Amino acid sequence: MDERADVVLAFADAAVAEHLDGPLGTIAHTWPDAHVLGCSTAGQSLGDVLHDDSLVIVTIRFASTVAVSAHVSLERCGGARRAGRRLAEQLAAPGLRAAFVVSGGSGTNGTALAAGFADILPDLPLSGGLAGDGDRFGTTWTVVDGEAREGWASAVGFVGDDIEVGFGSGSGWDIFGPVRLVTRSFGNVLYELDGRPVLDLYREYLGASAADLPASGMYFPLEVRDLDGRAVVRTVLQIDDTDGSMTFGGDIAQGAGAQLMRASTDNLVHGAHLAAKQASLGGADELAIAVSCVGRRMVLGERTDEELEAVLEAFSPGVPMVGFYAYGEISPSDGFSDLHNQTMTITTMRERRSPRRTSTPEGGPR
Amino acid sequence: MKSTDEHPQLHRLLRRQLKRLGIDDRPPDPAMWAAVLQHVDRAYCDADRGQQMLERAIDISTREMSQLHEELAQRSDVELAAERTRLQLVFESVTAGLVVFDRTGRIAAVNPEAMRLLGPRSSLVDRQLDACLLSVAGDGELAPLVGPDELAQAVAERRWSRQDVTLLGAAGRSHSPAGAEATWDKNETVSVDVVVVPFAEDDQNLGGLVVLDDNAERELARERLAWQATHDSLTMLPNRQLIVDRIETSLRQARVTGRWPSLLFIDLDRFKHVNDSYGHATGDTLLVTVAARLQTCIRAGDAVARLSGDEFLVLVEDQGDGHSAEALAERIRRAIAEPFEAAGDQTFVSASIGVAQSGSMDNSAEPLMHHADLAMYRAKERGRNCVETVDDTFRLHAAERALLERELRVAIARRELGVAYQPLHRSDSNELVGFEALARWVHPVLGDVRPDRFVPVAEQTGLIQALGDRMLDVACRDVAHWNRERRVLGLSPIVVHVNISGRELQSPNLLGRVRDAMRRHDVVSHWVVLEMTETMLLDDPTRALERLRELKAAGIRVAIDDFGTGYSSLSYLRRYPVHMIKIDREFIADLASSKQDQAIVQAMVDLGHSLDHAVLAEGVETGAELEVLKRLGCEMVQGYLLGMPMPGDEALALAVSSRMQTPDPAPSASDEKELLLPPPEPSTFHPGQRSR
Repeated sequence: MDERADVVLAFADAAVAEHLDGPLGTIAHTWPDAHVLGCSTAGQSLGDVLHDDSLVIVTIRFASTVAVSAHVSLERCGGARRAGRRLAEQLAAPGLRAAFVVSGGSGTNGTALAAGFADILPDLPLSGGLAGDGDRFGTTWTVVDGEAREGWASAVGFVGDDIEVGFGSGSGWDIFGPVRLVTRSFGNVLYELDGRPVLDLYREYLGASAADLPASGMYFPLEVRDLDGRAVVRTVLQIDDTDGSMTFGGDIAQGAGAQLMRASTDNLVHGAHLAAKQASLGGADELAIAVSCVGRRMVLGERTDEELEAVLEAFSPGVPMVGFYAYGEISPSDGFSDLHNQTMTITTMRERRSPRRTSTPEGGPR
Repeated sequence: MKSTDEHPQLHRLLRRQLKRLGIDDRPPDPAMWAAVLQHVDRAYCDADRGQQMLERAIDISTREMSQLHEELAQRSDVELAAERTRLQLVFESVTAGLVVFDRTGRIAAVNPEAMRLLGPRSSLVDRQLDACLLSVAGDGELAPLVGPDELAQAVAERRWSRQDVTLLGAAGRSHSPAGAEATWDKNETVSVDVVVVPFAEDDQNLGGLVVLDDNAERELARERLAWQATHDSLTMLPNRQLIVDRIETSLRQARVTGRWPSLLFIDLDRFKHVNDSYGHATGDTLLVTVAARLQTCIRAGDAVARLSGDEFLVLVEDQGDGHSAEALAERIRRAIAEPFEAAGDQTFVSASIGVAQSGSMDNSAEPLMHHADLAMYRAKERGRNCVETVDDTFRLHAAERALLERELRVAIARRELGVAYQPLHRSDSNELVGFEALARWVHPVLGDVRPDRFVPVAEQTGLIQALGDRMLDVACRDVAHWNRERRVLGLSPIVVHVNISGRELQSPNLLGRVRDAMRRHDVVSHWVVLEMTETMLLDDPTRALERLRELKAAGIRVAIDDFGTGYSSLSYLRRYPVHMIKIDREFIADLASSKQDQAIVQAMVDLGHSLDHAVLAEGVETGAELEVLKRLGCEMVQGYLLGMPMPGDEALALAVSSRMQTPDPAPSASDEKELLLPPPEPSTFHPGQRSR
């Protein structure tokens, strides 16, 4: 493949990092001048087909838009918020229109990452997601310098007057049961609801499936209504048996109200469709990047493809779409970019003079 | 080939599964069949799991909701009961009589105060308001207090009230059979203020409340308040206000009778120690005991009061019986010195007593009390546990102080206080390095008032701060001027020493005030040296150390004044960041002839040098003294021999002429050099009469 590319998006099964052929290195070698943005996932999609145990890449070539990229180590920056700031500082350029971010590391606080980014570039739309590791909740990584690195965050920014971007996010989850008070939490670690260890509550609701925690925690995300009355959805990333706490994909403020959520397949599929309609720029010359939540995939199971179909249906025929299932989605809504959980988020882009792209699935269907 | 898409009757999931596996409507080969089964099995499992999860969630959340509901219901029961209890408590403890009646005027409830006023509950509740609340007219006729007209008015205006109503009281009806009006004792009445408040909602009459306020009770409360206002609640003795009245009455009578009263001002010695060692409860007990002992000592007709804390005052009338106030004071002193029981221990306190005899010049209580107070202080100064009497000299002195205080206030306000500068020299080269600023007050009538007369007055009256500010301001102004002039001439810097008082040293904004003055006149920090006495520094060593450190950090140097007169602790001396010690003149006066003084001065010089302090000798008056000081290694000197205090312009002229003879070799760098002097400190003024 000798075609020039400005940006390469690569979404892969976590195990790809250990693949003997070193596909990540091949990407860097093949498109030495491209900005490569990639991460491990809980499943990646091309068009409306879901793939596991594979690597999906999309190359983007712009006519006039300039891409910039940045990679930072969360640990070396001193946490997610500072990493977000560093990324934004490195991307900041006149004419920067949008940025797409991926971040690795289990238990990464995506809220803090997005907030750090907004500290520096408050008005810039930021989308993307937290890298995944199937339903194993183990090691996650992002692509840095042609290799998979744990604990890094990467972002690519788009500069120029010709690029247009669109965003959409949809949920489909419904709250149920009593409203509970967050009586003890710190950052994205939740200890108690109504004075009771949160892990007890989840074990009770999950019954036999509790053995599959933290993965099975995805069946019951939390709607958290913060002190300002803003509702966000949070999903479980890790559990800690020693203190009965659970780590969620974003902050849960002490004193906030929390309510369990559940979903039906139809509602999830419908929510995904709405997100795509919201994001679509119209016409066939746009690229769609779909970042959905691992929690949706667990609930949808065999029917996961249905939400991808529903998304694709919202676009004109022939619109290319790539995406992955994430441990948390980042997308602008209500005027600022934040971490979402349990959503389908869509980012669309096009140039006024249409960019050329090629897409190459590698690995077979599952 | 028929695609699976052509089987719309199949479930769309099954359709998609078949499509993904690439299977059309023909039976797949066995290998593919296994894959089909696997996918279909997963779909069933997904559905089952979803269903089970949903049912479980519904069960659990339903149970949780029910529990919540029950808790809420229980909570509201408990809260209602608690609310009722609270209201009942309020109803029963209100000091006004409350009578609740319903829409028919039937009494529904009464509180204890209403029962005290009107009679037992049984004679009130369930009876009509107009039968129970009967007012007694001037002619003794009974009439319902709240009849239909009054009620109507109350509803219309939301309130109906009458003051000083005479009601038939509880005693008046208690011995009379119910309903037998004729037997009511109309002399048993109570005087009350009445308010009727109707309960009405949407103009519907729901009954109301009668509030009865007992005037007799109120009168009693008023008296109690009046008593409290004039007495000390702990000892029950009259307080300051009452004794002042008594004294003034006594003075007025004395004008007629010629029998002038005396005052004893009594202050317990080390009372704070009792409080600190045994606690405040014991301290209070002791005060009560002292009050009792005072009362047993005085005669009928005398009066005792507690002024505040551990201060008591006794008014001794001249009863013509030959008893002297001094003798009474002595008796009181001995009575107080008797042991006390304190927490099972025997403890002792003593008292310092000041006696002031009034005379025809006394018109009011305050000056007389002030004199007794001053005498008490003299007793304290004499060593406590004794009696001091105000005599004529004392009064004269007090009058002079009062005069000085008044005049000083005026002088400070009018900026009449001046500054004189006494030169400071190097002992070896005779080079002039700076001046000490000394307060100078030339009063239009009193003439030249020496600082040792007016500075103590300023310190005791709070004028010291204003005086200190003034000194600092003038000294900064002058030193700025001198240094501008000398710089033009290429001479080394001139330093000014300013005295700081103890009060200023204690004040937390000392540094701020010094800096303000320096900033105002553009003065470099090392042109100013603050002098403070050894005694001041030892008064509160910790705080002094804190201030000295602040000053040092700000680059302001400090000299210890009157060194050798206090009891410097070497450990403090070592820790204080000072630059210079000034040996008190007391050690210089006989220096030439006294071997002992020479040894002492030698020790002080060596001590100062070993701590890296510069050393200056004050009060140098003869050439012989100067020679000895040189020999002892004391590098700086001050005194009449070297220069009298002089006005600012003369000081500049002197500085210029003396230095022109010994020009500084490197004037530009010299600002750092002359700092033999301690780093300057913000100063309070403390009077500088030391320049002999």
